[in-house]
Amino acid sequence: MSSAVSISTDIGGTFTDVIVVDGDGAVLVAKSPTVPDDPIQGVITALDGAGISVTDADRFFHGTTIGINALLERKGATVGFITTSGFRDLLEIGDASWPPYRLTWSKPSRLVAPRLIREVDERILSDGSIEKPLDPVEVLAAAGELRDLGAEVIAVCLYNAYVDPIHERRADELIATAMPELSVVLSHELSRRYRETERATTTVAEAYLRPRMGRYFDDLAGGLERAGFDGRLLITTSDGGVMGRELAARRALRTLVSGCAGGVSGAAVIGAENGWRNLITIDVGGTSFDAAVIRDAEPALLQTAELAGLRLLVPMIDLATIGAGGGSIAGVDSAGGLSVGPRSAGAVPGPACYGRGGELPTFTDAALLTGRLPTELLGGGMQIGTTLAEAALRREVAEPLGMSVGDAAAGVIAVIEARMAHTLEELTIGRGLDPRDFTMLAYGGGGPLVATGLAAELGISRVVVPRHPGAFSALGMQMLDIVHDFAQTRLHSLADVDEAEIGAGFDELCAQAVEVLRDERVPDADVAVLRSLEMRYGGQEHTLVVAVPSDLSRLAEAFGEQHHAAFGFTLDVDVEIVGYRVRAIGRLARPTLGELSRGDGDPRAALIGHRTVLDRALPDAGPWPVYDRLLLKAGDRIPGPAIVQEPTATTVVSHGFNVEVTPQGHLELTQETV
Amino acid sequence: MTDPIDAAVIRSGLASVAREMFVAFQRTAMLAHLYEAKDYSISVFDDRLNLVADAPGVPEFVGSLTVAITEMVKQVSAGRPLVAGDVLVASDPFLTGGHPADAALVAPAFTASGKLAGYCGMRAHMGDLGALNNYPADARSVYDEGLILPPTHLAAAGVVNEQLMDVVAANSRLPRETVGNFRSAVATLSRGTIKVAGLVERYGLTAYHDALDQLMDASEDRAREIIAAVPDGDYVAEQELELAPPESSTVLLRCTVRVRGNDLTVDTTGSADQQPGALNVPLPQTLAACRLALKRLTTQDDVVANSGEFRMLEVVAPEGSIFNARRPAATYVMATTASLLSEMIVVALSPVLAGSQIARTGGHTTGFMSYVSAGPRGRGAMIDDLAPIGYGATPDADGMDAAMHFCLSGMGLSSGEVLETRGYVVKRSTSLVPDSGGAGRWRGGLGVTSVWEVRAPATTTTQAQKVGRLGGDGLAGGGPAGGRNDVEIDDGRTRRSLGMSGGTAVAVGSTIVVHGAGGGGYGDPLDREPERVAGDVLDGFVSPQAARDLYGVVLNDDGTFDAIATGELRAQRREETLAPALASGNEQLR
Repeated sequence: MSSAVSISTDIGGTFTDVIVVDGDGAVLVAKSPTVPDDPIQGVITALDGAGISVTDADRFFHGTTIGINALLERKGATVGFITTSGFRDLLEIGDASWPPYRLTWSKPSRLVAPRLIREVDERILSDGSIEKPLDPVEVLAAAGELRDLGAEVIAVCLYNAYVDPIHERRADELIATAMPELSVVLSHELSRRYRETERATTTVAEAYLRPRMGRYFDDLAGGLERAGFDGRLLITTSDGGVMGRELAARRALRTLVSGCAGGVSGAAVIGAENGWRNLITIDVGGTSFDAAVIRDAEPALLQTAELAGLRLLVPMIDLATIGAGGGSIAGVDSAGGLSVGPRSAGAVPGPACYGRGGELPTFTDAALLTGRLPTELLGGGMQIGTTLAEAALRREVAEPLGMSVGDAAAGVIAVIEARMAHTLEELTIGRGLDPRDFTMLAYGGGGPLVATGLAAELGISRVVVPRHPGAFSALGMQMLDIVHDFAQTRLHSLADVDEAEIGAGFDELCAQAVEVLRDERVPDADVAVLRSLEMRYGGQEHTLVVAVPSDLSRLAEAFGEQHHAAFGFTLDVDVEIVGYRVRAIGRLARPTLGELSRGDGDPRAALIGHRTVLDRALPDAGPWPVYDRLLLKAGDRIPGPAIVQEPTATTVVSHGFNVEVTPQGHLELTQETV
Repeated sequence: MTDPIDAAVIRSGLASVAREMFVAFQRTAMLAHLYEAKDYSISVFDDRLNLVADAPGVPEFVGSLTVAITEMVKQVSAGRPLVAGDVLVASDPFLTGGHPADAALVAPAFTASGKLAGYCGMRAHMGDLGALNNYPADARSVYDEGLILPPTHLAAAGVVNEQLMDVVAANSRLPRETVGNFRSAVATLSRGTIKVAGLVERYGLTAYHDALDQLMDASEDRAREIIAAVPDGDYVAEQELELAPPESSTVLLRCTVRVRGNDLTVDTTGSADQQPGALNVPLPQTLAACRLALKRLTTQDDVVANSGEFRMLEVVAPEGSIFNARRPAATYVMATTASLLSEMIVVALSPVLAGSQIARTGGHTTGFMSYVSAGPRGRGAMIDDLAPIGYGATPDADGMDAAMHFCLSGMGLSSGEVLETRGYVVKRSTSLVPDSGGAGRWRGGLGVTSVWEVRAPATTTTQAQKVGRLGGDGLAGGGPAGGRNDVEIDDGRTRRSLGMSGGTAVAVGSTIVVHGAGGGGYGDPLDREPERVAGDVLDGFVSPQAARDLYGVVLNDDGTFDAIATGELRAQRREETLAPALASGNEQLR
């Protein structure tokens, strides 16, 4: 192959995926087991194994679950927390809510011990006025005590600092001068939005992860350097962009769901290139089903991430996640119905058919028994056991429900698809979107297994299974730009401000945006700065993010249209601006994926056999043809029902769908109009 | 019998509809109490008016909506048959089991062929309906409590009843918010009915009924199984209720939980008659309080709330008593009284219910709700806060610190920074109250005190039961809870304890201080690991003095404990308490 231009790696819980795109647009995929104790070694091994040299690569994209795992397992740094007098217990109290109907409950475990929290007697009011100035002596005493108690890093979140961060900045200067060995995390650097509990949680969580993530990125950079890499190391973010690793070391929280986000954002780019601008993406892995919505080639973003029992003021791709994946366990629920998930057999012991000691039937077992999956995975690298799957499903599902194993297996597929379909309905119809206006893009090992079933359920007429669906998140990363978001809470009624004032409201944010892109070494020609406003009707709290129209006098109208589209009604009351948002984008050159050689439309050369597939919607269909995806050519057409296999994924083409292989090698599955 | 797979799909579909409506309403509602605190609940009913799915913001609403919508549908459809796009509303507390501002709404779902498929229902604090003040804890009759809407059309065949909206606006201190919330509710429910109808169209009424019957029967069996394990008997709990001024007395609440086999009766006979103030409870809310207690003791959140799990429950509440008040009694703060009943049932049954032992929760539904009349543009605004409380400890865990009262557990505290932007208040502090958790082998949870400074002339309602024998007794040798339930106003010179009050003026510059008590401890405090006690002292949850006096732990200056001195002190304590404890053993077991 010619020299690598661009490399991307997605380190997941089970596998490390590597994608290399060379100068001719050829794509190489390597998959190797994740090395939990030394993930960087896992990456290097995967590269070596595939014979890839990093020497010539310009860019190395990297997504990792290290941050989210450290947060979930509560394995982070010892954090000391400094806050405004009166609010020492802010984090312990939280919002005090807990699940309804329970007798009692365990709160999620804390990130900072109350004994490592100190108050400083200062106060800024919500209009920005300083009621009580910061006392330097008090700040230094607090930081000194926390250091003596073993704090490695100090998180500072002062009340109303989102309005004016002057006191947080001063505290930082004081501590940095007197105790340079302590690193300090300031709330306003992470978020300029209001809500003290969430901002404090965000600050503490960043402090909790930062030392470990900083070391990790240093080690990764060092390892790559030793292997001869002298290009740019870019870390993917939860909101679907990338950032230089220098900045990533100070934005640990932005990496939490970076792998997932890489897939969604990559899908947006590939979709736009192919004319699929409105997408529902589904990613089915071992334990979870993650879905996202892309409208007009832009993934939907959440401004607050809810992860690991914490509400964090960092933007992330709006993912709907449920526990439904290959390892989801099937059984009989308390009402005597069939249930699948959210309990998962995980990677160990895994599905019964893997023969690693798993005794409970899973979605993967049902997929095998219904003929959806072949009896060997990873291109023959792994044999799986039908007998074990059958025994487990018979014992746990078929016998208790008095049905045959085949019916039980088909039922498991139907139930898990129903749960996934309900999630997609909440994600679309629940937010005023009609799923029939979307194309579904499916990836992850299990996405292509369920995609046409879900599409039929939701009335979606087109499904796309991209190339390399099993490593698509890593491929998607190659499509990302450098992105940094800035937001500032600033409340006023639209009636009280003129257009010039609204424009001026963006000045500071735009200056920050330009500065950060300069730090990221983005040439001016590749810079884009997008402005939007968080708006609502006076009296509402939740806001809609409205892109700033070129004609500012249309602002109220644009908001009204968006509100009607989302919620089905408008109100004749005043409209408020709550916050200003700026998204700074540094465009990166994207690799061009090579085209597949063109065939004559006849897929018979790729036909490798037939097998019976049990499908509740299509009983007695006879054996389905099975195709090898690696042998398909651009332009090939396959009528459903059919199975298309490749080493890391299997695509089920339900009855009523027809496949066409696109010039780039994606599978486009179209539902016949009834 | 319906295919178990279709059945599972139908049931998860209904739960999904409820969640979807919950989110849609939260995003468009126009009151902090709704979007921040989530003071509303969504329920889905089948065509036979069985509760079959819900998305609770406020658990205390469970079940009362069933009574309300049954009556609403009956009354309205007697006049003219319901059609698709209808949304009914009612705000009569004797019918809905909620105060008028917590209006009940219901929308029927019809399939394309016009077959009734079910109903989507909602109860939400809609805003202000022109009561005596914005939260009239001082109401003397139902006529002080705001606009009473008998069951009527809020929307007819998809068209909002604008005349009714004009009536609501004309009666409201917050017309923009209140009318906006009603419109948001119509959009929310209409969306839900389409989904419910879709499920019936797809699977047919027979499969739909089978799926729901299975759910209700299985839930009933599960709840009965748990109650059957309780020895037959009459389990009694009593509690005092502090009346709001001008009354200055307390009255008795009493409940007898009668277990016979797997049937259960809650009988409130022996409780006081209905009272002049607003603490009276209409029967639907009494029913809801009993159902919530039963659910917490049986199926909890393992099973979606449904009518089946309450089939074994009978509620006896003499007419004209405080738990079955008659018009024109005032009922605005009925939730306070009802929440006490719900806790009394848990207190009565918990000791005899395996796996459900929990020391008493000392805190009540304590909070304040203030109204500022002179905001920007002359608009009024509401500001409120609730006191998180500490929970009782259990045989294997400390009680929860700082959690909402269980009647309101899905609600969240409002952000001080958000409320401050309105310019009427400044939040001064929010703190765990040290030593408010009862001492024990497992410590009771800590209560919370929060302080708000008022920056504009306001009136306030306060809701706090300062008295009561449920005050967080420990269990199995654990100590009682500390802290207290109260709301105080401090004008800089004096601090007034308000307890239950309504329409109290608050001067600019005063602070409102809201206190929630802690929970009881479980087991002998002398058996608690000294490491945990020392840790609690370092974290500020237990004072050094309490560590020594109650736990027998001797601390060193650096916060660690002195193992030898602790051992000696504990031995001495055990000896001291052994003799009197034996003597009073029978008394304590009462």
